[in-house]
Amino acid sequence: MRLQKIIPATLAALILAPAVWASDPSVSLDFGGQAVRGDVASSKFDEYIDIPRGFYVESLGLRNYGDDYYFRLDGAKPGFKDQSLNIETGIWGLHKFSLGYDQTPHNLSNSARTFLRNDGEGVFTLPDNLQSSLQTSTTNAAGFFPWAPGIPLRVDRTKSSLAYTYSPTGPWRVNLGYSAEKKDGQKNIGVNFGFQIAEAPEPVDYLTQDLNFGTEYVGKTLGWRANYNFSAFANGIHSLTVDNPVNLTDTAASASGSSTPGTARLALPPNNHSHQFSTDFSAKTTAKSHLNANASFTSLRQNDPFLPPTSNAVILSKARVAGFVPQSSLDGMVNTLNAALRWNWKPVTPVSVNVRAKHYDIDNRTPELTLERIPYDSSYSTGTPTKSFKYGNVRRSLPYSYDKTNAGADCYYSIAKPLSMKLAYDWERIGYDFFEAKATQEDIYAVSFKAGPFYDLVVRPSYQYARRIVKDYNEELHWAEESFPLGEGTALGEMPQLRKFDLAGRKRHKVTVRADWDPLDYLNAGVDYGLTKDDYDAEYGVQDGRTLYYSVDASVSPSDRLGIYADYSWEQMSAFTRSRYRSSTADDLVANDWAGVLKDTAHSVDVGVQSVLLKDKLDADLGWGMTYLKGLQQASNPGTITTASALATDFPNTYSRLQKLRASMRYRWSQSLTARLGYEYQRYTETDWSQDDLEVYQKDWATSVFLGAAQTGYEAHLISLGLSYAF
Amino acid sequence: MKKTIHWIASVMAVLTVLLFSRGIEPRVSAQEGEAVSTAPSTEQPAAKTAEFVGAETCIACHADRASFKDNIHARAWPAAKGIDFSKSCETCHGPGSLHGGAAGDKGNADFFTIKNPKTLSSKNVAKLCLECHQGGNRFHWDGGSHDSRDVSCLSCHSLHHAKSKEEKFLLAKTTEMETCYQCHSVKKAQFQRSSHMPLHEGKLTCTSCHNPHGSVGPTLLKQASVNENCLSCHAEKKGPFLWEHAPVRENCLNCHTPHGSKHEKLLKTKRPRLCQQCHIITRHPSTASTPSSITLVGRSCTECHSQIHGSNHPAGVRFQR
Repeated sequence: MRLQKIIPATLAALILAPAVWASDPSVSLDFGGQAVRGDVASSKFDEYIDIPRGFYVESLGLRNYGDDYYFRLDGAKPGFKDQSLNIETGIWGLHKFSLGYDQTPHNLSNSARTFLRNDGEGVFTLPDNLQSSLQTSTTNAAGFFPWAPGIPLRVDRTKSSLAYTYSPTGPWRVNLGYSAEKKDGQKNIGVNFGFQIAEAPEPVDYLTQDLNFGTEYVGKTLGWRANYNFSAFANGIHSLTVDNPVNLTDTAASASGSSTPGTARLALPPNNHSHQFSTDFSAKTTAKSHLNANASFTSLRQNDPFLPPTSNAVILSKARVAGFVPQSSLDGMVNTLNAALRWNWKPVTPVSVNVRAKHYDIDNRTPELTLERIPYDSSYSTGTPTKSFKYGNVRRSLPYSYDKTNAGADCYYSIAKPLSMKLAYDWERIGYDFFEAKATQEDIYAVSFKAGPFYDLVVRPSYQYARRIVKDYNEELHWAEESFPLGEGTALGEMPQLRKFDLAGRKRHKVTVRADWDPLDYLNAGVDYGLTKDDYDAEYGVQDGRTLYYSVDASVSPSDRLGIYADYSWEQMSAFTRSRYRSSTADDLVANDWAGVLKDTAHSVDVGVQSVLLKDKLDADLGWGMTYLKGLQQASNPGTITTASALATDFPNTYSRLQKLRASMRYRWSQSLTARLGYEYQRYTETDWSQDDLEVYQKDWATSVFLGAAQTGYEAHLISLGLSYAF
Repeated sequence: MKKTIHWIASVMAVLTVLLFSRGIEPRVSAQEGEAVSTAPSTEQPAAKTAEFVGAETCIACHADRASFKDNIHARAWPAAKGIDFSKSCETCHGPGSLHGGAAGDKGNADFFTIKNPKTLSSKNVAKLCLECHQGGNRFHWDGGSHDSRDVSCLSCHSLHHAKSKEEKFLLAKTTEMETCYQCHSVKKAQFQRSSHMPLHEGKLTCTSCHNPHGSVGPTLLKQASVNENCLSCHAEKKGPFLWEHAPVRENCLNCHTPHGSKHEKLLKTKRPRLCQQCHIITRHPSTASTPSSITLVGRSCTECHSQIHGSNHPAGVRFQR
């Protein structure tokens, strides 16, 4: 990683020197100090940014535009976790060299606690005496787990990039680029030891590198470009091994084939790499028409060694499990082909016609493997080993693939100066491999208008109707290979009548309207409306989906010293589902059906005033924004249930509200020096049953331990004072 | 309903054919400035008599445009295109001798011989800009979503009054997001939601995923598919995995909504309901049982099925390992 920083810096220094001093540079610097007060313990406060406390440099810039050379540097918050630096330099129209460095934090939670100790290489252990004690009794666990040390859950991203473009002649261009993105940190992950859960910090040590080069020729009538990209993802840690909090070692096998494990082990994301070749072509087929084409081929490979099938040594030692894995690694390969063609014809000024076709094919050539099944690290089958296919014994991996073909056309016609219309038709077919459906096919009709400007009003309404049909649906096609197949043991698996929404027939109506009104130079307003309604052809699963939104926005500047703006947006996403309570015995009854309603509603408001108090000297801004979200998850039984377990009840509603009040003043001392004073108040509140009462240890769940990771509310006051200096 | 839709579609198709059969002629409008402009791509008699007068002459009347000297165009053109500042105005607006000769008299037809991009149709504005800017990100402009929805280059870019801090893009608004929000206002609200990508924190922009100038991907995505777009940053989810989750391979948007959500991880809806949309499995809480259940709190279903994007573990068929 260090090398990745040194090489770009050296290259940059060598190349930049002549550009920086080619003529008189201009420099800008914005720095100051900030104080933060309030309850800011929540990771939500600084989720993606590093909020300064004390002195900091907000931004710095350097410009030097000479007759031949140019140089541009932009930096932000040097030394902070969200710092960035971008440099672009070169010779106008001939060479362009750019360098980028950017850090983005992602603060996941500040409330996580655990006794797990990171021993490196993805191994997390607990003190033996703790495990032994809990194995004997969990009575006192609730008393001491809250005292577990806190651990930060965050993933920091650092990306460095280099790019070079050479334009030897007007139409020719050659480019070369490299980027390296590092992700470091840890995030929470669930680990299970059979029917027992423990959360653990999953170490993140990812490096993604991309190398690309290409060339482009764009002439008056022909254009062509070709690119090659190599991408490699490497995970520094390949597995996660976590101690069982309530069991020290793997217990001896019982007669029924169970053994409580002392550890659990997960496979973390494997390394992969891909090669991509792509080419684009464009041509003026006639004076009024244009053809664009694109073709790309990507080959993605993954061949990380498999882990042993279980970390439980007792189960691993069983004869049946030996030879469990038929090969040492997957040798996975996915080839993706994309070919697209678009012909645009503008026969006369008011008419434009598009004809398009696209084929996108994901060909998953990963081998299908048949593997003996070890459902949990806590049990194994005591049955006779067999290679014949039985649901309870083996599973076959499925290399899911699909190919998507689109074709369509649209016609734009400017009927009269204030009115234009676009008609479109698209056809889409998706062919699936190993899904329950062989194919889906969709017809999409659309019409849109642009009316105006008349009386300073422009209105853009559109309507789309789409109808999707499903071909050769067979719910039993791959049940044998599914995670929860029908007939697994004596229990039931997936419900035959279920239709997964991506494979169900669907009718879609979509309406959007956007209106902009600019009656005066100093007044404009807009209105948005949108409705998408999906009706699924499904007896069970998602029945209907609906998204409805509207927004209004306006801004007015009655004088060049005052500007006022306001916008409000409302959106509601709904889904209506039907499901059934199904126990592990055969009571699969319509009477135990339940209907679900999912509804998320969002309100957003943003209002503000921008004013110039003293012309060319003093200006001030004041703004307030609020986003309020409500989540509703209701369920009810349409019929009379046959067992109390089938009773459907509502989940408590969830809420969140974020408010921000901003006020700032800027005083310009001179042409080059500006002082600023800012105040911001932020308040975030959250109510969510799934995390509000979650603690590291709960008495009701005696064998499960969590991290207690949550993103709770916060309240903050930020006061800043700064100077901007430009010379 | 089905018949109605087909009927409407048929009528629209016939209407389209009729419109073509009328033999549409381009409307010539002096106000539009299209037909009498003087750029090399137009063919109007007036243009032949107009001559270049130089930027100093233009600025004599249009003093507020003097700052164009600092514009990235004026700075780059001499070396990159061999166009010095004196020719910079007329490179886009056409030769101005006739326009200047009219001395601001709008009653004089010569006044309108100058090309005013503000009055041009979006197609003609694009044609003008692409004289120099074809290729690169604009390679697929023609026929792209914005081109075919009558979006003009000037809807997003302002050559003389750019407000963006990043001067090289000459945006009409202070930031790239504000520029896009002009039309996509609901996205502004979505990015304010509790679960969002860091756009407002300044770490991503709309063009991190989209190419507004046209692409071969859906919804102007930079890559050919949704998944390719997402996986270009989330490379750890590329696989291929031994055990794949079908909807993951198919489309990330089956479970996630990228522009902002109420639910963590940009999920479309809250777990376990999200999972229950496609799974009605026994031995799981298929009813809306009390939320205090251990299988519902925290990360809910993915507390056990933690490798939901795919598992490379030989016993990871249920995405638990």
